[in-house]
Amino acid sequence: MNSILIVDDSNSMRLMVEQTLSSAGFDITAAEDGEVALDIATNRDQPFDLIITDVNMPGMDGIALIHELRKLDEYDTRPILVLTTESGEDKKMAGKSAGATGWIIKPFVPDKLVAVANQVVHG
Amino acid sequence: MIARSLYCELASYCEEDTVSENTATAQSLLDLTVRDNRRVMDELTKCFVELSHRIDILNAQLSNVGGDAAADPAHLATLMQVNEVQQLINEHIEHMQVHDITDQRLVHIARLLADGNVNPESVVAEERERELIEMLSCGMEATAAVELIHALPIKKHVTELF
Repeated sequence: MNSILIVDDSNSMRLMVEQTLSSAGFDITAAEDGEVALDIATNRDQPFDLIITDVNMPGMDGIALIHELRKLDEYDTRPILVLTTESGEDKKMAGKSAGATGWIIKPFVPDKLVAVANQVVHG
Repeated sequence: MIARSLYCELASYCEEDTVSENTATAQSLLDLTVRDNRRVMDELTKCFVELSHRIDILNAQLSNVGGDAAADPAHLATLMQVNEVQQLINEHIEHMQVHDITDQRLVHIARLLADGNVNPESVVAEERERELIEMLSCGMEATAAVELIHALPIKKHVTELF
């Protein structure tokens, strides 16, 4: 079973993403901000197959999280998707420069989110 | 168009000699969010995602019916109804997301207003939020801001893989 780490400061949003992806057969772990996510990711035996992160969060935001993850050997090529309300080109470019694999604008459509997750995890 | 016309209408606030009370406005915005009812919001979310999950299972079971039963008009009608329910639940899940997103935007804007950080170059998500901050700084009421943000069209699940 492929594993996904979901990072979002909104409890409701985490629940929706978690339920959507767990119904599709993924093993889900959730974190409420970048610092917690980084801690979980670095203290795990096996790296997550996919990380899905929000951008605007208290403490470490999504872009900073991607920067930190890409410094780690186990996450230098793992897919990282950004799921956000941000649609501005400057933020998107910042995410791309940090090493994001893709950019999805909320609100998400459940079926489409599952399709994108499968696409980036399985190639 | 909607955004622009509302903006023009509400921008008239800025022409008035209104004393800016950003902290009070920020508090008014926060009072309009559902943050104090977060538990209710989470329960509703759980309810919809659970329903969605169960309908998925039901749909899969109905789709696996084989032989003559698969062509039975009653079976086909049930399958169609289940699909309609699934679509309805998905629409509600989307509405829940929109409420959640609007709430987060209001909290974000309120925080910027309260901090006195209303510089257009600050970390505001989008142009429409910058406009909103501008209007709130000029005296627009929080309730009008909420109506405005709800009236704005939203992009939905635009995906770009790099």
